[in-house]
Amino acid sequence: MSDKIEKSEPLITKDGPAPEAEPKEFGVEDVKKYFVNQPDFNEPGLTEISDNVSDGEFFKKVTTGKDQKNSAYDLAVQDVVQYKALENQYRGKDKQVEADYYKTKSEDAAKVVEFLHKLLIEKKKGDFDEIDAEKVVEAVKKDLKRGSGGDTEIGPVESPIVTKEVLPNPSSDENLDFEKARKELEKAYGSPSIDTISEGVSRPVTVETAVSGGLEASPSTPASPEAPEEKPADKKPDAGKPSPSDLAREAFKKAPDATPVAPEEKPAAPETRPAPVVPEAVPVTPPVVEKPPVVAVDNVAEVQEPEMDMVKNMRRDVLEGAEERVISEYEKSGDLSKQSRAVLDSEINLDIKNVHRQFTLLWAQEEAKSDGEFRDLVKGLDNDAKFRLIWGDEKMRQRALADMEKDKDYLDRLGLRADLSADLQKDRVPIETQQLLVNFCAKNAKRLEAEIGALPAGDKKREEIQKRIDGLLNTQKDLVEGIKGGKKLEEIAEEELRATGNAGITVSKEEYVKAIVVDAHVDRAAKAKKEKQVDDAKKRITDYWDSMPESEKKKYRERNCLDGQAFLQCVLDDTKGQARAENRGMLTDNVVFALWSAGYETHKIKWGWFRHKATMPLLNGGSETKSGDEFYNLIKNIEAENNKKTREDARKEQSKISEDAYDLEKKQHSEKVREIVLREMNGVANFSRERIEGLYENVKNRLVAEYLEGIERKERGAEDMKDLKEKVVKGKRVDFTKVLGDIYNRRPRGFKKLDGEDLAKESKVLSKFLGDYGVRVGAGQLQGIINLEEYKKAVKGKKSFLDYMLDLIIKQPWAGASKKKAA
Amino acid sequence: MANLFLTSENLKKAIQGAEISQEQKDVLISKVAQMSEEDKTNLLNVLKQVYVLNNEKDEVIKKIENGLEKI
Repeated sequence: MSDKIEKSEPLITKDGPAPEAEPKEFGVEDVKKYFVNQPDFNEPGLTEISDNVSDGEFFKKVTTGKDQKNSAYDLAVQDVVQYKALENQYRGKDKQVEADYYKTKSEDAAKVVEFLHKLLIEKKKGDFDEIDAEKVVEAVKKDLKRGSGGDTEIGPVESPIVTKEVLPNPSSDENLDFEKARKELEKAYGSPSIDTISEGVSRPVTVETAVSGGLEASPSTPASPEAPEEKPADKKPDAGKPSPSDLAREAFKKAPDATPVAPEEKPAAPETRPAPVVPEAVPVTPPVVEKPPVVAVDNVAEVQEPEMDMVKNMRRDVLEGAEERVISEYEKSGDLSKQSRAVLDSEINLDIKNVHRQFTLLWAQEEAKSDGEFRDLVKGLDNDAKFRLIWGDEKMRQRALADMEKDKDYLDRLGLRADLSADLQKDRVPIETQQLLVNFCAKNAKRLEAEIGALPAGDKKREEIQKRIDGLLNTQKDLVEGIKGGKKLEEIAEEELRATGNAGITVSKEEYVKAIVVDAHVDRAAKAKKEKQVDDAKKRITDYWDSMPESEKKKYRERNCLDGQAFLQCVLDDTKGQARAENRGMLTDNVVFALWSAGYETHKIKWGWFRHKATMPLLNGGSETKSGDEFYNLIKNIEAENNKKTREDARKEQSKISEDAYDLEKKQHSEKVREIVLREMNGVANFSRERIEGLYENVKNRLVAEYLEGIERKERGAEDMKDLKEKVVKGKRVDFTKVLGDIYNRRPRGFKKLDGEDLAKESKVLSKFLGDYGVRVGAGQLQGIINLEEYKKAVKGKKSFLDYMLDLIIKQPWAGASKKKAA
Repeated sequence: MANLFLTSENLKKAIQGAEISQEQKDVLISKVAQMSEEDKTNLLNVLKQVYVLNNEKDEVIKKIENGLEKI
């Protein structure tokens, strides 16, 4: 940028081709060379970036400058602006050589701008239609073309006065330090935000921005410094309308970030002819370089209006195919209800909280802010501020970037939710935000449904989650009604059911409304893919008619199907309405067609709710299985797998935070335990000899005491047994050994099973008792042969356990039962 | 298989030599005569544990007193 005029060199780079050289296609290398020669630009490695980053990040990265302020795109646009201004000034002074020099320079800068846009378009082709992409490129080209005429506004104007130190005097070559001038201009005007451009491209533009942004941008262009207000009569017919560069730039800006321009800054009279050389002492307003006078003024009136419309339309088309239609409907519709706002606000903030919590876990405690603090800060901030807040200092930023590589979704989720939250604070929620909110509601409701599925029946959380789901569905309905022009979904459902409910379909209106709400969750890429599949499948169904066996054709002929087209209609009638309702989603149409594409004769298949779940694997080139039982089993298997996967996913998602927290807690707990153990060990180390001896003495005493206790118990048991034998033998012939054997072998089956809290306790007592006599019966085994109630009665009458056992043994009810049985 | 050395006399000697209270020694010795083989084996195991504990106690006290290492 410090090239002198005298050099008259190739203008892309110092080493680049001469202006006279044969024109070649402008490529990445040229762009890189261009920027390598910009001392203040951090060479971005465009090829690498374009190959490696995701669509969402591409434009941001490729336009990210070293200081996080100036992007490649911004710098190039500013170069165009400045070179144009200088060209015009020299041209006005009739210095053709100098003027040509800057003309070439500005053209080169324009190529860079165009190239960056093309790169973007290439990367965004997955999301944008080809036609949309072409429109963008065309718009940029035209914008630049007009820019070459001098309309080169670069952004909101905050400090309108620029003195001669800022804008060099073109009459003095020594003062033509353009790099310095450019920097100072940037300083004076501010540089366009990276994020406003990048995010604006990758995300929808609000209606307000689309309209007001475009219409208000141009009036911000201040009057010319050369002749500020001296020629009001020379106003152009379209004075005050947005310049194409305004529109192109605004098209890529995000609504909340758009800076409104004060009405008093409107120019009194835009210039209509070239301005004279700037006198050294005369203060100039920044837009001097952006004014139209030096442009091909003649055509401005004709060009601006259609271009404005074109850019406006392009913007709409690119962002959302049907948005234009929806916008007009929306303008007639009411706004969100308070209830819906409350639901959304709550859900979004919960999400922000969850996402932030994950960040905090990743970033370790010492670097994280509290959830409440974070939420308060994020709410309502613009994207620049959010990024700074989230990434913080360079260290945090680097770590965050590394984390993003692991889970790129974090940033999007966080950014999106914060944006949605901010939009909700507005009186009127922008239309595309409503669309995003529909998706947000659908996604959250789906996730919550999976969460419920993972919870055990009767869990108290289920009720709470169900309330949230209901709230989300109602909010979604509210949003969808707004998007559909305020028309009640019940009315729409009635109309559509009347139209499609001619095949014996029994679907309630409520169910159908739900289906519409769920379907409002739009995935454009998936939709486009499915549309193609639908077309293919329609053809396949139609063609199938020709190869259909006569026996099968017969029943369709009875329904007036005489050709492939009519057969297709029959298939649709048979499946569409019912399937749509059953699956609560209109993707079912695509299911039908996709299955046909895969060779399934869908009209023979009994439709079930699981069909939708079965579709995705099939669409992705799943099984080769054909129709019949095999297919039915396939679907059932897929259903089972999907259910399992959904549950697992939900569980994983739900448990991720708690797992992390648990790990942290566990770690802390381990640390704590370790501290205690060490402390205790250190404590022991300080024990006196007496205390140590006392400890060991206690242990030894316990050992011996336990041994003696066992011996005594055994002796006591032996005595009891002696008494028992005496009692049993007295007048009765009881084979005591056999009785114990019966108990051991669990023969006495006539007894009631034990129940009650004392079960285990009593069983253990008896087990030990019998054990002393050499009968090894586990407590568990005994649970089946003791009548606890009888034992309790016996004990109540001060009967000892031994007496009870004695009675039991003497009566031998099991023996009697077996005798009776034998008899 | 019965331990040939686990006679009542040997067991009494072991009890006498153990570092337990005299009262415990008396009780144990009085019961030795009626002890089954199994009881005698169990008692011997208890006495072994007592012996090990005594050694451990001495070692612990020595370490603490020397202060060379912690437990």
